[in-house]
Amino acid sequence: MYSFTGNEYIEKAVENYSDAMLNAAYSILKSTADAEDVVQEAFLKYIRKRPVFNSDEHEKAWLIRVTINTAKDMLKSSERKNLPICEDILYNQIDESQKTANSVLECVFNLEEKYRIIIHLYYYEEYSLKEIASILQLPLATVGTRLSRGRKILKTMLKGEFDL
Amino acid sequence: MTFKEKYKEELSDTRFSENFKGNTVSLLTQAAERKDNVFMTSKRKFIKTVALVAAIIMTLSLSAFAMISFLSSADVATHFGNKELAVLFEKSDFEPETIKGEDYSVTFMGTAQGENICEINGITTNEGRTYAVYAVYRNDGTALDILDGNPIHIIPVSDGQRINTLTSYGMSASCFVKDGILYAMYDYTDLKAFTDIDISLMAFESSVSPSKALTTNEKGEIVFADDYNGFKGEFSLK
Repeated sequence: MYSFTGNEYIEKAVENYSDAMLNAAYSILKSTADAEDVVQEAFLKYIRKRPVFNSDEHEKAWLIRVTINTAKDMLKSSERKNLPICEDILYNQIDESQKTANSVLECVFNLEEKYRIIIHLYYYEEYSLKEIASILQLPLATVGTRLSRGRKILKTMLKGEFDL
Repeated sequence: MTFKEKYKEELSDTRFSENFKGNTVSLLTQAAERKDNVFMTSKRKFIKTVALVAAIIMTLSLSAFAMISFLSSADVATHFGNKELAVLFEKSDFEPETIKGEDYSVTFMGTAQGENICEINGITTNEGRTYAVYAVYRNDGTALDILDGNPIHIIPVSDGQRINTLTSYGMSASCFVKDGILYAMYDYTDLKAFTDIDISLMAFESSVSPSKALTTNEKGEIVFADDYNGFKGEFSLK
């Protein structure tokens, strides 16, 4: 557990966890600018709540969970609801600078959000299914099913180019 | 190259703002300072209150303990902006229970659980959750300071399970100090869902990890470790 003395904990948290939070938010929102907004909002919640953590891993998981929920809230926001969102359109909204030929990232971004975040947490953060279930507050079986379906769709998209 | 390696490589190439970390630290530091200023104002008011209360205590020869006035568990939920949870606490007929240690006392003030209790700790959940409110205070009457954090950590355990089995489903706590008393609201997984096991809430000093404060005896019961000498409290989840 951390004692909240001075502001060192802020620098430590930003240094240690902002990359993971940015990538998680980006995997949901597909926009670096929106991801940055969401991560700052998640950190502000962290400052306001000052939760107690058992360990660094617990703190990281909490911050990723808040980031994911904040990103989902942003997706659901009325501003975005008014947009004619569908996966094909979103695909074209991916930051052009991030696109490369045969990009694995493009394929992941083409997945539905519910598969995308699980694929991200599993392959990028290397969380176990149980840990993902805890972070997303979903039943373990649901996480397993979504991971399996997400991988199946990815395999089709990647035409067997990579082992999943 | 595997999918995982390729995905990591491509995502790691994503370019966020160059000054993102610096700007974020600056933003958060300002936010924290604004928050601390509120606490410092409360602290100054508290010192005046303590002086007044001490004078009254001297006059009336009453113990400091007798003078403690707690917020209610509903007040604590309201402080965190959770009106739905406050209503649940208000409806509860929970009898508060206090455990007094050498330096600290902990009062288990209430518990509530259910689905859709709305947002807490920045997380909106439709999953069942159990919330528990505790008050922590020093026995000598000196005030706790939020900047020192919560001195007591309280986790759910069940005999026959590993120490971290129930906490592995996720938990968090939010704290604030009012009049020198620290109020902590814990957000656990839905503990009532575990109908076939008895659950205890073990309280120990937060400077010690759960694995150091607690151990499993030969009967499979989770007990305080022999070499742990800090605050020891065990509440049952009614």
